[in-house]
Amino acid sequence: MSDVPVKNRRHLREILQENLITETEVEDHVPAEEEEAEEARKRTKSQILEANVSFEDYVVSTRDAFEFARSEDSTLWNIMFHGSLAGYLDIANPRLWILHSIGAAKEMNENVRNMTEKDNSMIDLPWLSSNSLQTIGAFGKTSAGFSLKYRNRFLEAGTEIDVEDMTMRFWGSAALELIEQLKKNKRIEGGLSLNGIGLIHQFEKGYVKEQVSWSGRIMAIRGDSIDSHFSVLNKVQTYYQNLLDVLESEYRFSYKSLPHGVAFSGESLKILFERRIGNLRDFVNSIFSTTQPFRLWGVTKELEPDRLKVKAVDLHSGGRIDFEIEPTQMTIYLQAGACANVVTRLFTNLQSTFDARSQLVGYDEPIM
Amino acid sequence: MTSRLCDHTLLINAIISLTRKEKGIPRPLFQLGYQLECIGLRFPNRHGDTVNPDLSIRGDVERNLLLVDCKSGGVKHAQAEIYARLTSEDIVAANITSLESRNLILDLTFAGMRKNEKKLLDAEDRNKYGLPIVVLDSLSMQKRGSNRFKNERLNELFDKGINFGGKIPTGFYPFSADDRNSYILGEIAPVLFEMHAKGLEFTPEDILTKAHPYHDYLDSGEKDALKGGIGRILSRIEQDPDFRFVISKQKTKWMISPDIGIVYLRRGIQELIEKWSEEEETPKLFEFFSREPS
Repeated sequence: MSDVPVKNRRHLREILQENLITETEVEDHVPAEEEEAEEARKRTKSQILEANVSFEDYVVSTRDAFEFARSEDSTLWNIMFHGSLAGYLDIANPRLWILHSIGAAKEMNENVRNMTEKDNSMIDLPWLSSNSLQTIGAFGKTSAGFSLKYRNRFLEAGTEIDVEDMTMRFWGSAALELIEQLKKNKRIEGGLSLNGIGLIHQFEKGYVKEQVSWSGRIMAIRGDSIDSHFSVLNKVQTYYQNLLDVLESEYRFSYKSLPHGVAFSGESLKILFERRIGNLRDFVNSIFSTTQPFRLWGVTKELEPDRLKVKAVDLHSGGRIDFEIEPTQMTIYLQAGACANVVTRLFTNLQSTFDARSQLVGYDEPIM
Repeated sequence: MTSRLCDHTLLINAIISLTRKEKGIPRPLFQLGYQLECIGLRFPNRHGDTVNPDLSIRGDVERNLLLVDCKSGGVKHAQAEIYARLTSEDIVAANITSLESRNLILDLTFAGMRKNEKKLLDAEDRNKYGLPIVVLDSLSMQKRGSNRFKNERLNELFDKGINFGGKIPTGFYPFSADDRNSYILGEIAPVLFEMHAKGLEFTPEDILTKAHPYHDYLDSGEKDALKGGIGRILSRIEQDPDFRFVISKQKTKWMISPDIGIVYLRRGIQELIEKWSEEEETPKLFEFFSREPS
């Protein structure tokens, strides 16, 4: 990571642009292929963070770990971890912050983990499901690759012949076509969960080749235009903001006390599975026992032998969320005040660990 | 072991679900243009009596307001008389709906279960309230008796019957005083978690306030019964030799033991739900002897 703190947004742009050009020259000479080697590279990258807390409160709550130094811009901060510059934090969007970095990817990942993983941290990743990544892949002029990672966490719970763990990386412009071809194979389809998508984006005469990960990290692999990088970043940020807005305005319960009663609004959501849950109790215990990646605390009541009700709490934000779980579907009741990120986190992780073909649906079209 | 909802909670959830937009469940009231307007309604009529049905549902197309009172037992005569006398002028005077007041049509129905259907019909036979009665029987809901809705579309709908097909959703209305302890414990579990996470002391009323969004509009009898029920649940946990994670403070307040973690709290509540469900399913000895021979 550069030790130069940013003074303002124009300075940020200069630093990121210069690093993009430098790293593209490095890429031309030593193209990295192994994931580990790539994580050591100091590419220009930006991590979207979902915030459920004001920046001022966040600074107070994390003063033992991070320090924040102001720039000339009130929504742009230099962030320090153990005395070293860890990145540049853009809080212009109070819900979806952006952490820019030109340090090693693994250092950035470590910092992001420190910011997000603690219970009640109020900062989370934007969870981009396999379906979302496919949508984002189409933001570019051409596709540039994809990676998929599926780890079957529910071997005991499935009744069908279980899908095996799968990992795959592909770089090339035929990425979206290849994904469609792979989906035709029934054995592969259940595990075809994207965890990254590559795209080439052009802005005016410049371009950038980006890798967008499930966690909302947008990394410039090569290119000559930081404006292209900002453009992709804005599109992903807007996509996710719209997703949260829809979930929280249409599918989150709200109760308004009136003099004569309570006005209720909000609809339920459903996750529909193609794969049948064999053992509901085991399935529920895996999800609601407070562990990563689901981060849910919940107790279960049996409504009927093949139907469980779960009353749960999101450990990230303390929000409440209820479920009815049946062998092929999960009904979700997002309670008042809860953060919709709990829904995207659950769905994204179920796609990558249980059934890549599952769908999150509302009363209209599939949501993500 | 199952931890079923009581009839009152099931009925309210069933009727609310008919007004939702969700695909995959029957939503005939939504398709007829009805929207849920209020839950836990409480207002005075023009004579100063309190009117307290469970739900108000507005139908924009027909300018029709449908009030629903869910009954798991019999009908209180005084309350039914108030309902029978209620007019659209009372609704307009109380300013409780956003519907256009001119030509407003008011329908009010009792919703019951198969097992209390006879009580509802007998009360109607005796007193001629003139209110339509709909009954939830297994997974379908149908109008019973001869009383009719003023809105003919509602007569068509409930005469034909609504088949819930799969399962009745349970997530819209949390719990009632008639629910079993195991069920209520599950419903209040997230609030106990919150109190534990914040290290707060709490009363049964605090728990009710946070767990039941309609608590302010319950009638006083139901509210007292719920507070009493939650208090007994907390005492029962405190006295359980295996799970003493609830501690009472000066006999009026409780707190969750600060010595336990969230994993233990989850396991403790989960095991109590299982244990109590099992006890609730087991018929009591006196119930066994009081059964009529089949």
